[in-house]
Amino acid sequence: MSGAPPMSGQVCEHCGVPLVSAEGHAFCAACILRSTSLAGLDRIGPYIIDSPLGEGGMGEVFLAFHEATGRAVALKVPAVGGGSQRASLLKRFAQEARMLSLLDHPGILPIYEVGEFQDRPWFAMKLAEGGTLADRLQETGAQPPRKAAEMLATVASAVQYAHDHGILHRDLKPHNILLDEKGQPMLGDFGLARPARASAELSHTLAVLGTPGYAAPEVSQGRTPSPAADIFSLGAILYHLLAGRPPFKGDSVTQVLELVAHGRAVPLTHYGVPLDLWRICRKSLEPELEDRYASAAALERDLRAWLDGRGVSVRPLSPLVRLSRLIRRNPLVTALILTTAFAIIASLGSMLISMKRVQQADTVQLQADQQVSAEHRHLERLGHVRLLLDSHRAGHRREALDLLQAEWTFRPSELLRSLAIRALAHGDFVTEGPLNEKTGIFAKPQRHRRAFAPASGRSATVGGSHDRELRIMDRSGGTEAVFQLEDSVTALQWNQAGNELAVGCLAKNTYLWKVGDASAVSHVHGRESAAIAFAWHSDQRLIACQTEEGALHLWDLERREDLVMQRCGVPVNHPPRWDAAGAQILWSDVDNNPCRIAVILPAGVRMLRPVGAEGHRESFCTLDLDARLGRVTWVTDEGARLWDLKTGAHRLVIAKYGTEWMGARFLSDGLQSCGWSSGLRSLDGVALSAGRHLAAEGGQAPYVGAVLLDAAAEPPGWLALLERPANRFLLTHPNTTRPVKVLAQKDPFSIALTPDARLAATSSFQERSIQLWSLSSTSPPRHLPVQEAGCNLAFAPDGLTLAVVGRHLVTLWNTSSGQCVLTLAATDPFHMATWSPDGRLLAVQTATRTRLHRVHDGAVIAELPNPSLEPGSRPVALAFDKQESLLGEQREDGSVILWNLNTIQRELLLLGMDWPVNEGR
Amino acid sequence: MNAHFATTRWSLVRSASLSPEPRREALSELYTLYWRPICDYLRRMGISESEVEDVAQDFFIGFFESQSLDRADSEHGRFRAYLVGALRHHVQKLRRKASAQKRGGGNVALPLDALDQSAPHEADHARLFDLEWAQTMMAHSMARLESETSEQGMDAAQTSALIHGDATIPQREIAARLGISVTAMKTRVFRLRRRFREILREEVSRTVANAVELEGEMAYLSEILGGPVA
Repeated sequence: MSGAPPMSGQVCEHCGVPLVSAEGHAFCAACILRSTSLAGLDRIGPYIIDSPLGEGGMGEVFLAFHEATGRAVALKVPAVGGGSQRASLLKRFAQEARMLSLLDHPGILPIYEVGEFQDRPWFAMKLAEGGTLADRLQETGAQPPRKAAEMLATVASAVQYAHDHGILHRDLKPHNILLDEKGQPMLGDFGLARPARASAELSHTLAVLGTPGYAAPEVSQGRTPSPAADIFSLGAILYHLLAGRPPFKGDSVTQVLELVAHGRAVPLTHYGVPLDLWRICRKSLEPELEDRYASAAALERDLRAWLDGRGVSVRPLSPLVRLSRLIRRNPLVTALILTTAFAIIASLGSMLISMKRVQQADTVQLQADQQVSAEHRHLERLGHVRLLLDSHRAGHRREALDLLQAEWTFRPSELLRSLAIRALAHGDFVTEGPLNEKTGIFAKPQRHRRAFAPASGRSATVGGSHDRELRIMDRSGGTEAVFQLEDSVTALQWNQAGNELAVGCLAKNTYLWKVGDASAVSHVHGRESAAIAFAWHSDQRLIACQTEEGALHLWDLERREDLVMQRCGVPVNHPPRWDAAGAQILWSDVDNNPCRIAVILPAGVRMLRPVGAEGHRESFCTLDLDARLGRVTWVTDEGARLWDLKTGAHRLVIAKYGTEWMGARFLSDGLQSCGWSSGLRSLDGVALSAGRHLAAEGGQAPYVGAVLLDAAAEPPGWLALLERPANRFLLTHPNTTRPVKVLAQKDPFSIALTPDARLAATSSFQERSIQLWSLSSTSPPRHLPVQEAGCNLAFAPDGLTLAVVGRHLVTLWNTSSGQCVLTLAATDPFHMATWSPDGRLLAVQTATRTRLHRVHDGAVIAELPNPSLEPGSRPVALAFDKQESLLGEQREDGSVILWNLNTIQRELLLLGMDWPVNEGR
Repeated sequence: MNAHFATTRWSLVRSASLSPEPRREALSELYTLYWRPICDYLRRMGISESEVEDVAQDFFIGFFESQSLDRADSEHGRFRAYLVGALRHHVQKLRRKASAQKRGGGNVALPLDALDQSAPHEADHARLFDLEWAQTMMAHSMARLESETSEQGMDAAQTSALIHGDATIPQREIAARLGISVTAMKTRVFRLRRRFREILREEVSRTVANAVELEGEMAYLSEILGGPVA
């Protein structure tokens, strides 16, 4: 017996009543009596309502307790307004209750009691204490394959049971699968369910036709659902269980529905899921009803077989099956091919019949079928590759290259090679195993308000209203720049030298400030969430960015866009960093385990995108490369720019005078420009290295109004110029003040010199004639009888061939014989051509694209893509380096794409793809 | 404190006067239930702290040995009211005895002057006795519940926090500690509160004769403790 008094001496802070003590602690008797009293609680029927559990498609669900027994239930009450839909909603609700009460299966959520309260029906169901499968997937991501298979087998068994009772679920998805306290799945929410053979009347009154991404394509299209639709949804759930994401994910419902209609899901094997499970899943997700499992039981059988280690019924599809499916899915596209195929078959058939060899005709027909089937599979895969390459998501590069490699063994082609070059131009992330994607998202990222650069002594400070003002101060505390950003600053990081600053803001944009800039330049737009941390790569051209949602983006400072992104679950306040070799990004996950991701950079391509540098197409080349010194120059609306490929530094070196035409070329030492108004100007190597700049000025004697067109490399170097007002071509040496030779071309338009300055070619914009001039003699020029006016001329490096680019044709001429040796045609207008230094390739630019042609027979080796995700702007100039296989393409938006063909060739060889420059000779 | 009672009811209390074995049992149970209210009552009546327990024990022994229980008929009201009457009678008896001894020279130190002047009115004594009885009921019930929940891995503070309407420890936190979902936690809370009411009814029912009286006692308990009016 205890001697302690029941009064503790303390007073309840809520009601002021003295506390009672029990077992050493005190409690308020009045409060306990109030909280344990059942008086005043909300009730529906015999149930006491505790709290809402959620809202379904058609009503509220409460946690409720049976007053007498204390049993916890999920009590569903429909949310019915007084509108016109009231009757239909009540009907659906009553139907759901009726459906559920018909079904008695451990995998189906049982219904306990049905009733009516204040004119509203209700029913009490078993309480799923484990929540929904959707919640579970959200919390834990992909499930281990065995667990996923076991779970889905249980659900499939329940679905089969419902089907056996003539009931379709019609809205199977993770939200409608509930888990009991042991995690066992139970099928719920039969709100859309109806008897398999009931009239379609009810469905017409429903606005909902399943859930996009889980509903079978035929359901989304409004066709009458069948058990096969539920099997499709089971496949989608299985996929989600195994991959941790739904099979069809797009930016819009339309996009999702399109992916569903074509059955385009990323193979589960990419997530490390066993092949047989992927086959089971794929068979359930077939777009056509008849290709899916015949019943949920069949699906369950295969899952159990897999779990027991036995063989599954799904096997790889035969080409014939693939063909038949392709035809069903793409009737219009296949019609053409089939017509051709059938024509062949028919003609072969009639021939054979006439020879009374009917049996052989069957064989031929089968072979033709197989050929058409293989053809379709090939085209379908190429379509898939294009789809993959339309985004910069991690893994897409690898998947595209795998597919292309496989297709190459089927049929090598220029198209495959071009797609491979496009894939190689992508960046990628590679992980060794699955990443822990829990981000600890509830943690609040630290806001960076100040960043200090030890190397330069600079500091950046955030201030102003809403933290949008950024002030850069130098070592002495003086203000170097102040500017406003679009939104609050979320991340700040100096580069190692302390002369460039990466800035992230809440509006999901990133900016870069460089010494000398008055403001920060906007770089990457349209990310899904704001950057909260940056890690500069040691080469100063790349920054790894971490976003609020735990994704990693690889920001290419030259391109001013992301190369690749992946959701990695990088936790807030665990910023990523580069490894010592600069090949991997490292971080710690929420559980402090080390994580790493290898970075694959684009191969054989660089894209240089200066800010606000637009350019226009001219009749001469406005781009020049010097691979030896690692420099590129090109002319934009402001003037000639110079980009140092080694340091990434770039600037305007020679300004235009007004809106004049201007050309620029590298000389053996320095840079030469010539403008319509500014005339001939140059900066030597020393001046370039010292960072000198020529301001805009007009009236440079003596070549006022001359446009730099072409230059020969041989010392002392030659310049071919168009002189105004005489409007004539003339030749001179760089840095001289007088013309050396005048070429009397009527209506002069284009000019070219051989590198050894032995020959010049000129064209007129009026006449269909090219004139070929020998510079060592005074003899009259030879005429080349072209079919259309030449808008661009280019001599081969050996000077023996001249490429004449007309609007519709490109013709190659032997400069000795004056004979046309090759003609190339294209569907869009030609613009410019340039020769590779070895003279074996001719790169040709049209209004929209650039192709590489083998010179000896004109065959296309590859087409060069736009490596950027920005919509392609028109190409304006094209130039090969004179020594190396480096090809530059200038675009209207002021960017330059540099292709290193040696690197591309090497990468293609690693993929088993050739580079047939010499073939067919 | 032993908070478990097997079958103690008014009927058993009555039977306790008939045979020795259940009698001892009833005595023990009544000790537990009424010990503190009786001691506090005696203190308020002016019995010095050093003598309270002896006086209470004397009262209990006298109460049982004097066949008082035979007169505590279920048909004549609540046992508690009867007990208070008997206690009052016992104190009056002590006073008279003390007074006689004062006159005749005894050695019981009972400060009668103080008792007469400062003691509350008789009705207040009864009400305070009832309040202490009610608090004892609550403390016993809570102790029983805590003993049950400790088997489910919950400590007394958690049980108290959950059963209390305005908990200082959030349910989500306790759910996380116990490794169960919030929904499961809510279910547990509902059941805990329900179980508490059951235990409380059981405790009170031990001192009443019939269902009607039980409801009356429950209502009275709530009223005297400041709980909701049923």
